[in-house]
Amino acid sequence: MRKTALSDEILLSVEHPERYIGGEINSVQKNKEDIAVRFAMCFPDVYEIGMSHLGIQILYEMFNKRTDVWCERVYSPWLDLDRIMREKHIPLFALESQDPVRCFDFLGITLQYEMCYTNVLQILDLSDIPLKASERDPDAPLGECPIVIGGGPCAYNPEPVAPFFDMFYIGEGERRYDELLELYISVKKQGGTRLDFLEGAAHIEGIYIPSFYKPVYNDDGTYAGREKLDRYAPDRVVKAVCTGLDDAPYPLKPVVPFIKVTQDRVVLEIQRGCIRGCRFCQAGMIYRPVREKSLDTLKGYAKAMVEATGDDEISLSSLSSSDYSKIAELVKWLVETYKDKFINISLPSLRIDHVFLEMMETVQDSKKGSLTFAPEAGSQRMRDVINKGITEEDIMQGSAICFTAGYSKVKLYFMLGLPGETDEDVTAIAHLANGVAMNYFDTVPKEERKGIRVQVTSSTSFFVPKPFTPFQWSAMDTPDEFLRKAHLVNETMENEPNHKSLKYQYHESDLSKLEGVFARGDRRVAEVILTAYGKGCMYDSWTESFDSVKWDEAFRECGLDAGFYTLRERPLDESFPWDFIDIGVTKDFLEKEYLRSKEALITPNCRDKCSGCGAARFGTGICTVPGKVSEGYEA
Amino acid sequence: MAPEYVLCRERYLKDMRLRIRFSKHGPVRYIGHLDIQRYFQRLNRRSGLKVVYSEGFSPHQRMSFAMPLSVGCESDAEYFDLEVSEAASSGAVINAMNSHQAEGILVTGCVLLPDNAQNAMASVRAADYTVSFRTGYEPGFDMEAVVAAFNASDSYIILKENKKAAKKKRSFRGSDTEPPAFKELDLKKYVYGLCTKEDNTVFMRVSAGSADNIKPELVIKALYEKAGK
Repeated sequence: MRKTALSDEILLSVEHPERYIGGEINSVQKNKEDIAVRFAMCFPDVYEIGMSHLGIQILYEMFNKRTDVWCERVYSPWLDLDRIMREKHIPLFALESQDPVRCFDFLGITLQYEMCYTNVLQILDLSDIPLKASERDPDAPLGECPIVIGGGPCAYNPEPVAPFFDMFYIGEGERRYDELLELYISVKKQGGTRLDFLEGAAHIEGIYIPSFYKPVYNDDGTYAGREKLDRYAPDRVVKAVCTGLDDAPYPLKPVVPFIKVTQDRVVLEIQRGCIRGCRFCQAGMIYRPVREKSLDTLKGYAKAMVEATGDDEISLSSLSSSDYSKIAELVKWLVETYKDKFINISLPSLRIDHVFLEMMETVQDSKKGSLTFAPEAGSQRMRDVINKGITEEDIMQGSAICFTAGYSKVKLYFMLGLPGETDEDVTAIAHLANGVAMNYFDTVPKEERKGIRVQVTSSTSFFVPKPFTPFQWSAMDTPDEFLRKAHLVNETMENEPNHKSLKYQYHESDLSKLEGVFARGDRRVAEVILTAYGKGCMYDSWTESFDSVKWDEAFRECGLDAGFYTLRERPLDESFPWDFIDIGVTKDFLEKEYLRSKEALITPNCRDKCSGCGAARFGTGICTVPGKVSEGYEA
Repeated sequence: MAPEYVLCRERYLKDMRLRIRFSKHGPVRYIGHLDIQRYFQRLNRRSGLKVVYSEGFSPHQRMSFAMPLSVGCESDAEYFDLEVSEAASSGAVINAMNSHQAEGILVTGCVLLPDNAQNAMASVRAADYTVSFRTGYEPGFDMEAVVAAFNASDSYIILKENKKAAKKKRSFRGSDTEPPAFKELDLKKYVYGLCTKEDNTVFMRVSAGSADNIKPELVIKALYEKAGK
């Protein structure tokens, strides 16, 4: 029987001990004597969140397919266990073997959102790995201390956490990890050092070694560029792109947690990337070009995964499922195959139109929950600014279809603080919500309302400009301005004729400020993160543990001004710390899009017309459809 | 060797109710009762059992568990009832389930229930427990003698928390007619067997089920009290 790293006493004293015991269905056990590389794959948040992440499951499958690699999982111990581990000096362990992370070859940490950065330090600290890469001996033989490697969307601006990592993997893991693992094995065999491995890895596409560069700043504090500190340091890092998604590794036997986790179902990734080009959306740019998986592949996945997990729900995953060219066919097949097997199909990220409603009718019997629209902005002008490609008419038609079909609850998602937003744009959110409610009364005759009041719930989040988007130059609102706007929405909503049918929710603004600093910060921000962690900051994305006072102190002590990173509209000729990363989409294209946004000009989606973003250089996905890429746009 | 029951739909022409027995050892003892239920729902699907589902908007598997096992306890025999529309034999059910198990959980028995059988929960009368002491937490007294004294006594009155009352108290806070949160109970009546073993463990057979459920902690606590600890 497996042993647990934690004693009975500890397991009985913490919340959800199942988080820490491993042994879940489809988790992989190997004999460590037969293994060349031990890889600890970490999601720096609590188990239930981390276990819901598809990317780690993909890499887990891919790594463990190799007989010479054993990939295990690591999550952040929750605050209760964190305290005990520090008190009793218990090292952080991986779930499968329950062995300390410190004795692994790699510690891979996925960076899915900026607010996990203090948890990265928690993971390193509890693992007894020096927090800064510079404190890990470059001349030590490989295997002495794990190579700490970061990945995920936040790695596209790695600088705010660069000092904590030995390397970053920029791009899609399926593409280059085998190469990296082979390199590690060969350097280790030859008795090479940590530095030998890092220098070798610098040649692999998508790998960035932060310690090989020293950032330089102008007198005004802006980023000037960087000095190379190592002979093998390349000028640019090109993101790794997976070109044959149908043949790429996929977790056909995903790990099935014992406890209920956030994503508690079979997840079918139907495509990667998005054709839309919304100007606020980082995922829409960094995952270009859009690549679809074939129907046959997805059918095979569904069958295998249902069999291997016993899950009772299948969910489709993509940035915009409606844009998958065979969506109707896929949903029809899923429903027909699984309707008698008590397996539900859930369809997130869908555009609400007639096709969608038809699909919903087949998916759900007669249970009418709520439907969600994401207009993102209240006024048409603002939706054009962000290139949302959705009109008021679309929303009204969509909601009318829902109401006629018997739905009486609608959710609307908006952002506040978008570039160039005026008070008219803000109050338009309330007007739009009111319009949707009014639409109910217009489309559903009184005798059919059955005494049900239509409910339109609007929620706003605060816009945070992200690197590699057309808004990477934009200024962000101050927390006070965010709150003023939120109150303005609320006030306007209360005065709408249908205010009794309207509900409004908004998120906190302090968190957004911090997210803004981390998103477009430079390497100096790392010191602030370190300082805040030293003050006890952790689990910052959790309201109960977020402490804005400590963060303010940390900024002060490090002599950094958060506003420098968030409040400036950056000039077009300013260099960014993330400019060295090549995502295919060019800075020129982003700039063009930024300027078009200022004129509220719409840019067509990839399927309608190629706009020459630069992603065609990868020669895959929609960019290879004949006649799709406009002349002169090929790389 | 348990007898092999032949189960087939043709013979019964209706859904069958099976009583499944399983064991739980090792780290999986930290999986709570609700999660064990979810675990078996998934296991049933992975094993390809033809489980009967309830009617309604959100159909669920017709499965009912006997007593929940406390988190941290291992068990040789836990029970639940499962309705299936067909199954070749008890052995086939056991094999199907055990080829899809997590380490530490094993189905050890499966019988077809007669139509008039009570459900698993109502069928429980008593439970056997073996209590072992962790290193450093061994009782600092002669357990054998205390157990003998307990067995020789006529009665042993303890105060047991009245859970229903405690719950009521929470919902009717401040009311004058609060039911007492504790009730007196003669533990002797509910302990059917108690002895020490050579490996320094304590074995007990106690009343269990929906009424008069005695947790082993209560007995151990009584023994410590008796020893003056």
